[in-house]
Amino acid sequence: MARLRVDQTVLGSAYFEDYHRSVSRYKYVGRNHPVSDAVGKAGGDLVFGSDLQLPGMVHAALLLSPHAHARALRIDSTRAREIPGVLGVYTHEDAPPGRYCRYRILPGQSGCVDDEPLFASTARFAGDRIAAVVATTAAIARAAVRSIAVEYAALPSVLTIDAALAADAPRVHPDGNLLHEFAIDVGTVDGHGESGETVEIDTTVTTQMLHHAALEPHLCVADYDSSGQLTIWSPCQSVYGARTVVADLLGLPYHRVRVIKVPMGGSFGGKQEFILEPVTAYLAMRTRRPVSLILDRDECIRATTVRPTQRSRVRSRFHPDGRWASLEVDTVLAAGAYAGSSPDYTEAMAHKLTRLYRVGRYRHHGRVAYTTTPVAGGMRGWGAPEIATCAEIHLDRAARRLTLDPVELRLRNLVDPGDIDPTSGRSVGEAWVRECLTRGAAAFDWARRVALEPGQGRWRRAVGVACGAHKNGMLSEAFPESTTMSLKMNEDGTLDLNAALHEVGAGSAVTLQTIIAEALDVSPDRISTREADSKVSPFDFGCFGSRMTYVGGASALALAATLRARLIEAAASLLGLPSERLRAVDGHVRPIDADTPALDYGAIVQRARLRDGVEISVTQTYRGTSNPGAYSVQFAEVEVDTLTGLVRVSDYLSVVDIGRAINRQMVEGQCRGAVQAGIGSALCEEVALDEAGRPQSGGFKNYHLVNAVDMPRVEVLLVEHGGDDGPYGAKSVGEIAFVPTAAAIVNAVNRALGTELARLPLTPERILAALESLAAPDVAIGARNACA
Amino acid sequence: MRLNATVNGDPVSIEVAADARLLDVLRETLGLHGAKEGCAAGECGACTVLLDGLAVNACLVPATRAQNRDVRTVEGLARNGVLDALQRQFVASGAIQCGYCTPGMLMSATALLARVPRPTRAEIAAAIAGNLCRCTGYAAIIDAIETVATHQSASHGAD
Amino acid sequence: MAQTEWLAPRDPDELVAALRRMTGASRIVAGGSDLMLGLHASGFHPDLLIDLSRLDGFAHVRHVDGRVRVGALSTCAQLQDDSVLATHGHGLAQAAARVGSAQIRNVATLGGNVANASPCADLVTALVALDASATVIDGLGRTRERPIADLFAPGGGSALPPGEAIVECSFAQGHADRRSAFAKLGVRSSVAVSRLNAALVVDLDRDGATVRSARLAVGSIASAAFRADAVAAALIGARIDAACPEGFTHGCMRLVDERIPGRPSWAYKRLAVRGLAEDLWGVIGASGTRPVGKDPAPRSNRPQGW
Repeated sequence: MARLRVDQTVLGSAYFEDYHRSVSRYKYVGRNHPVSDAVGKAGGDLVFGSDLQLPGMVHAALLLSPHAHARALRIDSTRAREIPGVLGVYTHEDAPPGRYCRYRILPGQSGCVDDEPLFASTARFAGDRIAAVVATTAAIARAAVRSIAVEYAALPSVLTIDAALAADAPRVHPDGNLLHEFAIDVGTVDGHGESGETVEIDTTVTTQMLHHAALEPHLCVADYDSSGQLTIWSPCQSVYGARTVVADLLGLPYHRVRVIKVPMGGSFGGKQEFILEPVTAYLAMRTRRPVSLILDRDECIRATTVRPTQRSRVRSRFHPDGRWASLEVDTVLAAGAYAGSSPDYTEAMAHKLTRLYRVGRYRHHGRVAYTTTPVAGGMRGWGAPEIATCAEIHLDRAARRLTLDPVELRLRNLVDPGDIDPTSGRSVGEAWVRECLTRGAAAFDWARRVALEPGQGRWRRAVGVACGAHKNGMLSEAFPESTTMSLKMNEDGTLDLNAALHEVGAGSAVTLQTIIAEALDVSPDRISTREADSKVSPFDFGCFGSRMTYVGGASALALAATLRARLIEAAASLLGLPSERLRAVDGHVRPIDADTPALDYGAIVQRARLRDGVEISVTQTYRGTSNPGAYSVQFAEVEVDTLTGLVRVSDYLSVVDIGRAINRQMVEGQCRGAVQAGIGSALCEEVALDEAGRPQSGGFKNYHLVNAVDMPRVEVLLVEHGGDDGPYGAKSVGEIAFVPTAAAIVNAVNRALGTELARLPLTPERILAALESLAAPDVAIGARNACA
Repeated sequence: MRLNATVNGDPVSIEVAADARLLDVLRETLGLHGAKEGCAAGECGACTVLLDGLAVNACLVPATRAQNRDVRTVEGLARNGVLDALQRQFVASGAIQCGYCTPGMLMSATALLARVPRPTRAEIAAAIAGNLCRCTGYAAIIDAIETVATHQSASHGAD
Repeated sequence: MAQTEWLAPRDPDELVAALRRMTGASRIVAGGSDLMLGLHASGFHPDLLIDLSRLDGFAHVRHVDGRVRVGALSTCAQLQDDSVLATHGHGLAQAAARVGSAQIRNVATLGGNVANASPCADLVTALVALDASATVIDGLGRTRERPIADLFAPGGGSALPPGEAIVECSFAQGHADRRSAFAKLGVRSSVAVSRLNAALVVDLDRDGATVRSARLAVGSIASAAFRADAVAAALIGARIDAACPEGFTHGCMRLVDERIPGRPSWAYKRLAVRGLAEDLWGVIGASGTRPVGKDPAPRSNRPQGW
């Protein structure tokens, strides 16, 4: 079969017209820009957190509970303290008594539960912090940790959501295991009512605990100096949040805590919450030495944060023509040992499907429970991938029942631009998801490929599709989206942007440079950015919630516009011309009628400062006023080996409603990286627990990331209509690009095999077991009835 | 014990423990922090360096193994402060996002192109199968290596 | 912490002298890929490390007097491209090509793979099928040739006592028209630990197409790879260009049933071993035409163009 490329003959000319329009209209926007620190990364001299060396720096290591639930009766650190080079051993016995919420950004923030101690006296998961050792080298610290003897009294573990919610369940925390519960009921049944002619579909889908697997392990460096200043160097996603959590826990005033964001070797949400900052800061205060704490891979897997495991029952009624009459979702999610972000995370799941489809009446019931398992936390997509996986597997089953093409069924229900999301009352904005689906289907040759038989031999091949929705920033009833930035022009016309940037490796810094460059018509390399530093950066919440481009970018654009106005005003004064007759072009302010010479930016700054004492710099706060939908539609082709259960993803197309790509190369990189992670979540990634609740060990030997050999070629198709309030029409990409991936692959596998697999990941074991039950007809029919 | 080796072209003579890992000696004793530790188990490839031209995981190689041999790290790729062709192309192709896998990827790519000047995309993928990346989906990395191979072969008159 | 002493013998005499000094807390480093990982993870500091990498003349592959002799320090990278193995030990070359990543194959050695005695060691399975033996040297300079299987303790792990080192593995070249194959099943198509592996050696009739005799070794379902020639007997008389005989596939399934009944992995492995059986048979049918290492995941039976 000839491979179909995304080219003009398949796509028609519309895509290319869009593309050329965007690249020709803009000088810098829509082109390719390396991440701002790419050269240092290529040269190997960029200093990551693990490369930091401070004078007198010492090293910490953690003792983590091997038990899922146990009381530490006695902690004997005598031997550890005797090891030469050990500076101290710290446990709950001498730590501050307070508890904190690792997810908190601000004091008084709703949805935060302060339930986590610095050191546990009762371990609530296998990985809970029992003690820390500080020593002159990391090897000595680790050796000392191994020599600490802890006597534990086992407590009953609570390893699953069902066990946690059982009537007589052992309590993980004193107030019970049900951490949060909510219900949403919006919209009305479309058409003739819920019963009558409608077809009911009922599915239950389970998604698994995942490790973020940023290549850089979690780490933190902290120093507490003799003036009472605490400084923390952390590859985090919110310096102000880290400041809040650490200062409140350790009883320090906010101006005495400085958090500096250092280069980050990937996060994917794993470094969004504050896991190592509190303990490292505490150790620095106790030892009065700079302390470096670096986890190993196994510790990262079990003792930082994981994507939560959740199960959603999805029940729908469809009209016979495929239109949705009603949708009801019941979600249960395991928070793990501490609340973290899980209450908000679960609520987020209830605000995705109604941005994507018109579903008639929508009801969503959610419950979050404590379990004695690794702590759940934010991860790329924040509930959107989970609910998309559940709903899109559900939709494929519906398509089979209704004998509709999966693409057709989705087309009958997708939102259109300007639709109102009934759960938020806000517009979905420029929602071009329908176009993503139709253009993608054409580019992927869906209609032909979906009609092909999977084959009857050892290998079966089929295609699958899934849609997903996410957001652009945090704006909601509960969150007033805003950010503050400063931009200063220097006397040579270069610019310094001061914003609390948290570059996660996705190019947010160069995105802002590009936006400002376009607005002021200067080269992006004449604009410097700096990473967040709570001492000097204007306030920002942090880098999460798909807000960097849509909110941060819009802020940068507004900032540049204000600065341009100042510049023109200053030039007008210098030239003695009215501002309306001047414009900023190519690094100069020129009169429109061009009979007076232009002034270059640097000259304006110099002369304005010398002559008029005028400063060309701006600090302003941008407030978001919209939160349109972000959309992606993805198409997968898989080949399944029916003898071994191994799946190969053989072809892939990712379509994203991007609004406008600011940095084409990085947008495509985000899309392809998301597919790498999505294939893993569909097929092979899982933080598995043993019967005692211990997470698997063995690092990447047992936690399988898709490598270069197993990656399919991934085509990326961007739908760019602009609009909304993003800079130059841009919308978010990093999270949405991951949202539908797992579902597209699961749907392809189910189509290839005739199975109804709905528990992720689709391991070879589960695939062969499903094939076995298909081969035994009685069992298979029973299973189908149970699902229907 | 005393280790005498050539590191990035310079002779070094240092005291190392018999069971020290090459990675620790490079990073801590020699201050070459380009090679990264991502897993300490030879699974992620972030610590890849060249030992007599062969790509190895510095986290699994005893430092003593470098005795009288040639070690090359990512810091040794640039010449007179100018990035080499692979490094420049990694930057240009968008092969670098978070950058944590980059040094290891560059060293695996360097070893490959020394052995196979004009690799296929499948051969490139196989050569970096031991280098994990969570950001890029590998495509831009493979593009960069392929581009350099094509240009170098062309400039050497080979095909 | 006590200092670890380091010895790097350069010739057999120095090796013997070093071996003589070994205690239970001493370790031998060949490639180091398993040893260094273990030392780092456990924090264990050996009293003595013997580094074999300076030894001259232990990285050969030779065809001498009807036997193929492979030096213990041959790396997987060398073995996968070796011309002698391409002709006389294709299964071993294939196994070497499927070990770990390029970085691992550049350091991991044949001797290390045998001495480490992992139940899923890929080279071991290939060697067991080839009926290989190992030459072991001790601290008194005595060398002994022992069947590979004797190097594994019955309950798992190595049976090699401290003070002994493997210097060579060898196997008979055997029948003129011999073919061998290796197949494995991991979670990924490359750089994956074997969840199952198997190697097959067949001798063909004069027609060059019919199996006269066959030997099978299977790894990852016992403490060490073991021979299962009774299962391979189902191949005798089969033409290598025909479909994989059902008796062979079923025999492989029965083997898993016998070895790991009730284990969590049993239900899966008993089914998946069918794929391994077909893969082995596919390589036998195609061997001589497929360069080792070009395709890390042989899919010889995969239909093309549908």
